[in-house]
Amino acid sequence: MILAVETSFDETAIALVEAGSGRALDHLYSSSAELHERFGGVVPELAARAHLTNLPPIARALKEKHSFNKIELVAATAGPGLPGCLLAGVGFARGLALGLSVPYSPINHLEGHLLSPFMEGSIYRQEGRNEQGEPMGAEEIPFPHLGLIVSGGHTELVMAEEVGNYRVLGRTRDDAVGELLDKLGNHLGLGYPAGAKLERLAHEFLASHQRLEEALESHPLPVPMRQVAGLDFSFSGLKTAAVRMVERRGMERVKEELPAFAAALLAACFLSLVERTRLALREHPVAVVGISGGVARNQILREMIARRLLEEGTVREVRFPSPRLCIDNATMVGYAAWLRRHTGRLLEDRDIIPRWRLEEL
Amino acid sequence: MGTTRPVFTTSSAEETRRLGKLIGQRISSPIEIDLIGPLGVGKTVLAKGIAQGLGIDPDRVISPTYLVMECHQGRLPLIHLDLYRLRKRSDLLLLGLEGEELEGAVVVIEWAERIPLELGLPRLEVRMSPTDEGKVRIEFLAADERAEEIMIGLTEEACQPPA
Repeated sequence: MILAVETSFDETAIALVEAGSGRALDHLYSSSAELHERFGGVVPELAARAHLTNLPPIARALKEKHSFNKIELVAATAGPGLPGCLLAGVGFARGLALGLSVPYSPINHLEGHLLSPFMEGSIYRQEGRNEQGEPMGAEEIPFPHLGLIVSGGHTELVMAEEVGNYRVLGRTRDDAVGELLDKLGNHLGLGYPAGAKLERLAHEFLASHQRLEEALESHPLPVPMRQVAGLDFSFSGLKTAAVRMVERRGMERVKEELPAFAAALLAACFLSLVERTRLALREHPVAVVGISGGVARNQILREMIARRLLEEGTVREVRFPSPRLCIDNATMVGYAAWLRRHTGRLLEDRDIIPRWRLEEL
Repeated sequence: MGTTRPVFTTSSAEETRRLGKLIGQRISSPIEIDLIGPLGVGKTVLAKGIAQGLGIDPDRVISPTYLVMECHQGRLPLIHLDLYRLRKRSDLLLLGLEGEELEGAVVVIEWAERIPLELGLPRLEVRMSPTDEGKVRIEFLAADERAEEIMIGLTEEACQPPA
């Protein structure tokens, strides 16, 4: 089996992946979300310390259930992420590999997200939706495919040519989409992170409305990048417009209409994601789109983007990872390591790379 | 302590970026620039402009909130920090931000009021606030002469787009 470690940001996680099939065997993580809720923000220092504290007991707990003698490879996220956090996980993984006399290999966190829709999750097709169980091998993954990574730190459109060969078509010029939602949520007093709370509020709006976009009538917010060519994203203009709307209308009134405000905010964000992805597909027509990252957990986004992308003539299926593979996790790191191992593309041990871009792989 | 406190009013993100670019062009030695103002006021936009004035592609200057620090190489190195997520000075240790990396650099800090870093550089404080007319008021407080020099002769007209 393959043991994978993920500590790039605020989640300490270790996962075991079967070396033969790439199937997820087991995983454990200690989310520091409770910590963050109390302190009102993500705290890198505390998180990095937490990684050091969390890793040994998580590994011990897994060791009680699985024989570590069967580990053939240890992998860890070596970037992108916060240096202190990355060092904690990579140091632990290197030590473990040395102790077990097995190789250690670094993995790019974004590659983990990018490939996660092919491990397990939901597939949307013209004829309907199927749940998918088994992870796909490198030869089964439909290359080339288009990846859209949407999270708190990243918003990227990526053409995946094959395992390890990625071309970034567009990325955010300012805020990531998840960052915008978290910051606005925090501004509205919903706590941090706020993505799940905004989604619940938008569902309240949808209980009495047909479509999310209807919220833009009472709460007109600009859909980013409509007038800008190319495939980059931008969310800071929308952030400013939303903050200005709160100022103009007053926080009291906005809070009374929070479901509509949340729905409008999500509509503006998601329409931008849909429109950029459709544009990418027109320039680079492919049959499969994989959407990953923490924001891909959002069920409203899943339904909206799948429906609209399937209207594109070329698109056969739109895939999403299961929710537990959307958030930062070690299972996706193990799966990427498994795919690389099977294609002879394991990376040599190297130092952490806090700003490791996908095209630098 | 300098005495000039120039105030500018920008009407769009484009004007804010232009103002930043003019400031960036005037920087010739290491300095700390603290950007202070509420969510969505345009701190990253101003930082993009400063980067552009230092010869850096502004499209590569993204919000550093997530990774806390982004580094760019222009006429002078630019270290772009965002303290939104940090609680105390020692949090910065995890970024690997040490003395030698700061040497010779322009350090632009968003949400700078959260933790005074006391980097020992000339310091220009920039206070940004939205006005009732939907514009942004940008006030500069030069903490010393070297910071003050950057602002000398900079006029509001310079930020307007050419007619």
